[in-house]
Amino acid sequence: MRLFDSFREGLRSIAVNKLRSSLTMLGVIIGVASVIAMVAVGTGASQQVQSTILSLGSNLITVTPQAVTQATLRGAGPQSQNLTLEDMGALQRELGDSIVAIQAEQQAGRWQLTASGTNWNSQVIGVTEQYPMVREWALASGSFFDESHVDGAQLVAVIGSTTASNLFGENDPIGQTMQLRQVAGGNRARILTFRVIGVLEPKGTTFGFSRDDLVLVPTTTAQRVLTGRTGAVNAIVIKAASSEAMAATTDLVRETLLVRHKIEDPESVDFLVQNQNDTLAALDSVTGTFTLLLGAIGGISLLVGGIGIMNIMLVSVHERTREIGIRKAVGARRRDILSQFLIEAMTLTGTGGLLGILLGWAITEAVKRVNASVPVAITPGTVAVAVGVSVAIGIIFGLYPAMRAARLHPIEALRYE
Amino acid sequence: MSTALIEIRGIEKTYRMGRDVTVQALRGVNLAIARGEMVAVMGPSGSGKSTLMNVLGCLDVPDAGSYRLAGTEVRTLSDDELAEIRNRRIGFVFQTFNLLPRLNALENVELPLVYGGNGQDRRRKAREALELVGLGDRAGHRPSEMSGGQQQRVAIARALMNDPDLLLADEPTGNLDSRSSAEILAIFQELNEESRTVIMVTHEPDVAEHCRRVVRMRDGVVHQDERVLRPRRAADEIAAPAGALH
Repeated sequence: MRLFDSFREGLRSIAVNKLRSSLTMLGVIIGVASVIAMVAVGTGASQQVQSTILSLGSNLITVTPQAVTQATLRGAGPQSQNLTLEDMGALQRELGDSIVAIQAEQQAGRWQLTASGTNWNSQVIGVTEQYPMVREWALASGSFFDESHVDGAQLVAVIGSTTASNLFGENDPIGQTMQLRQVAGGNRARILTFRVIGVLEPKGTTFGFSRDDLVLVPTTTAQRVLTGRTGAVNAIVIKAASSEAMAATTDLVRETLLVRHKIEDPESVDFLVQNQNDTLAALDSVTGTFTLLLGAIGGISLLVGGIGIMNIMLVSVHERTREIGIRKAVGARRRDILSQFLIEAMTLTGTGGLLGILLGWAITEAVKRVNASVPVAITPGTVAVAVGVSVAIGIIFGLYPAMRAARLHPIEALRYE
Repeated sequence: MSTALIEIRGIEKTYRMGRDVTVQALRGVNLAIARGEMVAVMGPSGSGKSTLMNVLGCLDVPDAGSYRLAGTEVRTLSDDELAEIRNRRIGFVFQTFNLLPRLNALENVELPLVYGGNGQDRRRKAREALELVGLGDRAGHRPSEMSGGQQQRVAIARALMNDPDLLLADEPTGNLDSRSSAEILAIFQELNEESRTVIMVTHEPDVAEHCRRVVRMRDGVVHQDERVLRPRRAADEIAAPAGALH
């Protein structure tokens, strides 16, 4: 029996029982569609997390102060003073040209901003001069502050695009001044006047938060003028030369700081070195599990659809016992009958699979339309797996009914009423 | 080598009915049928004639004995080898026609070629066979759109497809009125005159009288085997010549 004949028979028998075939197919359609849609959501979330992390700059190694527990005393953690600008200087000397850039950050909290009568409220962060290189964040206009600004703890600022448009509107902010005020203890307000020297390029929003609403000042300024936490920094961020160099650089950073901090027992370090690769890998495994879970939920409906296929194929074999007998009487071999019913099942699931992909795609498009912030992504791999699985389900769940058909004894099949 | 198309020696067949009831349908049948014969197999129900038919048609294999069809021992063949023999050497005509209801006449006739032979000019051969039984104009009709006699003629056309050694008919006129019966018998007689071997199972003496030899079964053995000196001619019995063949 030629393959073409098998296909024709399969299509014919599907066409004869249109309602039954479409209901059976519906199980597969829903199954495949849910796998596609669910995995699309999972993949989308995973891609979003990844791009968010990479948008902070790539190949980053972050050093943060760590709470130290000695006997029963526990240190202050991020508030402690154990990471300093001098540490950054030492790392810079030690790492030299093996890294792309390094910078130290000190959060200065939220401040009320005023410029030419306009008010705004922004996050103020102290950073050092290599910040644009570390974060891969270029300037839209003006210039970033240099070493002399940092060394002199000058009152200069580089502002985000949102901050710029809210404070200065259409006017060019470069060279303008703005006041930072914060209500200190009691009713006394501190007012400091900063000169704007640069505006950052817009970066958009992540997780619904604008990343363009911020004020960057020299770390030293943040320490001495804004927070009073002289010397301490919240984080030292290093941009390694490449992804491959990150492990070695991480080790070197750790050793340098251990020596500088005179720590002999590596168990009681007062800092934490975080490698962006590790973070990515960890998040990848989390989102991977998430995607797998969603896929499995879809997979269960696909399994149910497959059982539906098997059920209907068994009914079909039963109903067509006599037909099988006739075919055998005129010379159909076992494998002819087997392939006829297998191809019929595979046609059902294959068609269902293709329709399911369309439905799944439609669902993800609908999700995008309704709520653009839900990340969805259909990958060719997902589609290939869904089609492969639905055809495989046709084989797996069609095989048993087809084998039953092929094994029928011609006489018993012919006698069947 | 004898010239016999069918040589059966000591064939036995026992069926199990339920757990511990067995029915011995054939108890040592001996039969030889030469090429070109037209034989009626008769007998009361339970005599084993249907079982013999199934064995002759390679739909079932005997438990003991020997069955040589055109020199090939059939008893030891596998399922697929039996299927091939059914496909190439045997043409079946059943009482209930056994056409596939979803296929039209032409597709039904084609069916043996789907499972055997080359796929080339399947259509043409099927059309020729349909024309041979006088149904060239019914090729596109489904079985449900045809009379019993027409359906049986489609079945005969199907049986002729692979140019078989043996035509096996199981009560071929059992579901037909007398006129259609005569037409069908006329076709069988004509085919026999073209030196095809025809074996027909029937319980109607009327039908058996059209054959040249009558084998009577009783209790699982051949009870009587006789020649019919002057077989009736079905073509003469059709009141108005229908021209079923040409």
